[in-house]
Amino acid sequence: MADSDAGKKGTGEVMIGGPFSHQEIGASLLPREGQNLTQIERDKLWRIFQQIGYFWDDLHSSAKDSANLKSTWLEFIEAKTTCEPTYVAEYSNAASVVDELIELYGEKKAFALLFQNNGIPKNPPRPPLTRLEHAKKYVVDEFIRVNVVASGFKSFGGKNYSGYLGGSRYNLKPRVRVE
Amino acid sequence: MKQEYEYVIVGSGVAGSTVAKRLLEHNRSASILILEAGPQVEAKIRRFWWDYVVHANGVEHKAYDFTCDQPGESTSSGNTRFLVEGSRVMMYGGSTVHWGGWCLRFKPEDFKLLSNTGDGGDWPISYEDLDPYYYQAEDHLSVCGDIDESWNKLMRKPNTPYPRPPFWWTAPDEEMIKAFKKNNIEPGKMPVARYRKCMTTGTCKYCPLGSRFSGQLVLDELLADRRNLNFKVIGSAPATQVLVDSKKRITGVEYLDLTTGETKQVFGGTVVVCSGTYESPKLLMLSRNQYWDNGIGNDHDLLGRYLVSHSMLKVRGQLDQNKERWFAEYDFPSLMSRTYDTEEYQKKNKIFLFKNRALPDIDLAGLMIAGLSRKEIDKQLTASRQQELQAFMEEKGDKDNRITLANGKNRFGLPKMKAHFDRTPDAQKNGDNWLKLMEKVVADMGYKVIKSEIQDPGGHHSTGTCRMGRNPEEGVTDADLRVFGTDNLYVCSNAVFPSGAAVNPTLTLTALAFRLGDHLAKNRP
Repeated sequence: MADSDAGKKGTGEVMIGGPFSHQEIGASLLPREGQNLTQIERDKLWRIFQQIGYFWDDLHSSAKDSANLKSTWLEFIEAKTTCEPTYVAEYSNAASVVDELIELYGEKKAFALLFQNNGIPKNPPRPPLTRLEHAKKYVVDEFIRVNVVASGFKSFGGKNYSGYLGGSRYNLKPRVRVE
Repeated sequence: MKQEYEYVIVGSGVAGSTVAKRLLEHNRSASILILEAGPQVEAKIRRFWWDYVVHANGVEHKAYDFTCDQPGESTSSGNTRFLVEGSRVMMYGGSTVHWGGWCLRFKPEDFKLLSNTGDGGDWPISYEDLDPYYYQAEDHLSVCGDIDESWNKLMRKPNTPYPRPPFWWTAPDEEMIKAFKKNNIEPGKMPVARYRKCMTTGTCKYCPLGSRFSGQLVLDELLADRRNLNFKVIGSAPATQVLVDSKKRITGVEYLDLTTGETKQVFGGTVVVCSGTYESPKLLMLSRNQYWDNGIGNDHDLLGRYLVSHSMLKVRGQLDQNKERWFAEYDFPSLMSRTYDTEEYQKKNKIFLFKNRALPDIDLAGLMIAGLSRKEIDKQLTASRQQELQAFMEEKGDKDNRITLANGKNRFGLPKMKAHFDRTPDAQKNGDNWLKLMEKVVADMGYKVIKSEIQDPGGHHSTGTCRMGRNPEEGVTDADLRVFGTDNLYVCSNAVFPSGAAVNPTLTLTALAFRLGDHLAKNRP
């Protein structure tokens, strides 16, 4: 398939991806059609989450990967796929979008484009109308927040991210920067 | 079938649940019914918490906001807008499901506002009367704090630490602490209700982890305790009037069953109205009958009057660097001061100072979502920062500041209301003077002042409207919280406060609830 010139015009920018990513599907959360998340899809989603840590270099573990966040991330995925409104269809969509992007651009470039130069119209912002926009809003953007809250903030200098402080039973020593 | 209870409590917030808890501690078989206007909403839902987290701290998603006051459910008049929207939660557990958890004692002078200043009201009880109950309230709410602060030495007995150690000051607090000291302001650590069992109620705007006290959990525990055979809570049951069979004798409460639309009655030996500063007087106003032309307890036209809340002062400064890479690490304040919360400043609308909980701050995830590179985010993070000094200013009770019933009902079947509030020229002048002091502190931090303002009073800390008094001409309830002219009707709410002080009211309300529980148990028929 051709490179990013297969993109779709937004407001002057070229949206990355191919026909699947550009397919218009409406702004609402995609309905679950009875499907469940497969392990293959879960693995693909985990790869998105890992790439966020690599791309912004905000990994906190000595291994410099996101493995220490996996239980947190899995709990997040569990909450988003077992309670209403379910994200199962959104997750399935995002896995397929990323498949197409990797096929088009190769893994490293695909994620760099998805995270930074995706061509999704920003000015003015609009609701997510295509499969690519759904993947960015409902999956990538939420994974970024999970990444930052779970530990990404530490690489920027913090010890506790705003609002995410353990309860009293965990507070055996100061959890914030003090003098 | 006629339903009878020893005690009928209207409202399931911290006041109602504390009164019930204390009564049950005295007598496990006491029959108690709590009527709650709002619904019982499931708590500790991990999905709600995650949605809160990933939607930028509730910018898009705010769990359970439907239980808060909505636009159009109250109106405001007077020279200062009185903000009610979003100020309380109407549900099982009440507003402690959705609060900041700041727990400060009122000071001895707060009980003598009228005597000391000629304005507002005096309490018919003293600080010393409430002192033992403050300790119990701190224990119940699991409050953290530092006993070494000078004001604590005036209020607490020696060697009586808070139940929990204080939260530490954060690194960004330090530069404000230095400016405090330069201005002879003593820094202190904010006492907060750190409830060990609260995990993710999901409703608190700035504690999604939910490590604060929540009234829901007290109710859950009381209901789960098999010894409490006769304790019951009915939700979606707004009280519509208090029932009587004579001027003095209260027989029960009428309520609307929102699930069926039926009007129902329950009967009780004692009725305790724990419905907050707005609903408590409204319920009594609605309770007109052959004995009480203007509503129960309103023979002297005092219901709804002396409405008070804090006006918030804010001074924000900006510094054109942030090489320390500071951003808010708690999402609640850790630095505060009561230096100007003293009798000496009572005439000048004394203030309680604290640092803005959310500054300096940066939305790291938001910048990543916007597609900024790591280098660009680091540049933004280190380019500048803002800090803000805030204060609650005591407003003194004025008889004409009041709430009244309005036409129409809200979503919970309760009447809408009007709030009238005039800030006096003196209070305005004093507020302006306090701002100058606060501006100096911010300037002494080396910051450029970019904002300095007095905000309108908010409904979060509203008090008055059924205030205590020494006699029926002065107050709606007596020192024991019993409505004057009745034998068995009590109000336990911020509504009974004759003054609002400069600090948050919940700890004092909890202390009053324990005291009332003891009083009722001791005087059990």
